[in-house]
Amino acid sequence: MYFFQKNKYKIMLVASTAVLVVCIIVGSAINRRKAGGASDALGTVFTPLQSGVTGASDSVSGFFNYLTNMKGYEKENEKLREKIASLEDELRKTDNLKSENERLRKMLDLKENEKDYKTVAADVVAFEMDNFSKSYTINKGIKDGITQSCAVITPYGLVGYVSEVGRNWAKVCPIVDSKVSVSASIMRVGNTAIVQGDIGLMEDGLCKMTYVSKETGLEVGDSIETSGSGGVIPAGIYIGKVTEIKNDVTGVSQEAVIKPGVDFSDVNEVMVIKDN
Amino acid sequence: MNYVLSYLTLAVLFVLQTTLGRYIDICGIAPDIIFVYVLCYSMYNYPVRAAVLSIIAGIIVDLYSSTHVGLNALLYMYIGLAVSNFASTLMKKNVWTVALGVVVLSILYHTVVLITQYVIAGHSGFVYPFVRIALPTAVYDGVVSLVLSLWAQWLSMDKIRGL
Repeated sequence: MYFFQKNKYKIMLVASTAVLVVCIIVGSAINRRKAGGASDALGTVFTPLQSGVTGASDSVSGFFNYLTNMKGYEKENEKLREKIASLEDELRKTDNLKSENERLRKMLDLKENEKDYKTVAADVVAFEMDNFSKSYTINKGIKDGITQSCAVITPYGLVGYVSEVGRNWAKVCPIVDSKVSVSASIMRVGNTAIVQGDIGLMEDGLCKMTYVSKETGLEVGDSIETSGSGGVIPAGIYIGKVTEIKNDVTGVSQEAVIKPGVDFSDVNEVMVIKDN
Repeated sequence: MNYVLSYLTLAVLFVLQTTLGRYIDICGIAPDIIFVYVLCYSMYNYPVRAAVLSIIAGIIVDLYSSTHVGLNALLYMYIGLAVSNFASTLMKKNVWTVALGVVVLSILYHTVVLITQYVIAGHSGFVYPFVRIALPTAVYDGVVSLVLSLWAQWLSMDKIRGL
């Protein structure tokens, strides 16, 4: 008894270390894609709080942004009116082309190739704690039909995919995160490559494309979309544009810097594709 | 009462860091508020108190973001214990020495996180993220500690030693 009293700090230290080392080993062995009980409980309790704080802060920041940018909004409004007029004109032309396309399809008896994805809208409620990662937490989870690996998009393109999911929350790994890689296709030439996050580009909201054959003829300004290989993320989702091309370290293939369509510093609402 | 308030502070800081962190970032670098709080709290409390709060903070970080459950809990516990022991015997406590301690320990902690979770896993090199992320984070952590250390000091009024 005396021994335990005398050495209680050391015993506590050794015991805690042993318990935590076991946790690390077990935690590493378990696939954490579907959140464990404790992790899910933490998410379930804190997600509504985070949602409230994020909502309130967005409102406050939106109000101050409005005040500071009032003059700019007038000019922007004028430009947008002009753009709407030109877009309406374009829409009329597109409608004509669409109806012509449908008529020709019917004539050739071709099946419609487009697929309508079932999506669920979600708000970004929290962000990663350390600066090495850029993950988001959204306020939709298993109860809304979201599963691990679901693709996450905005009207501007691919955001990333669901890396972990709980009852009323899910973690989204964006394509700029260094742990993410996505199979991609170069739209102009149709060749495939891998788009992945890079910790050196992450802070600038950029990612890179690797394993691009030199014969591909990749050019700055080429548009990149998902290829659908691997079956995780559906094909045809816009990723971004090539801004820089360089030879990789082996000299065999090329590497390109991609500017994603999504502005990752300003992602507040996303759509999760449920049936990929 | 202060004991309850210490853990309530931890919960509030967790929510603030994960939601408002992006509003206070500078060039994409936000302070690691939970880590700073753990350090400040440990500097003004006995080892057991410091270790218990550090473990709980580490477990929260693990459950929220880490792929290795227990890694941050273990790191936080050792850091909490070491800081508490060191501060009680060797350190003259004022906000500036606390801030300097936070900067040094933040560099060490973020280096360990960078190596264990990114470099070894092949997700990143070492030099760029160390210079671009770990060092600025440590400096920002030091600045935040100027405020948090006062709060941690107030929370620990009945237990302060060496003042």
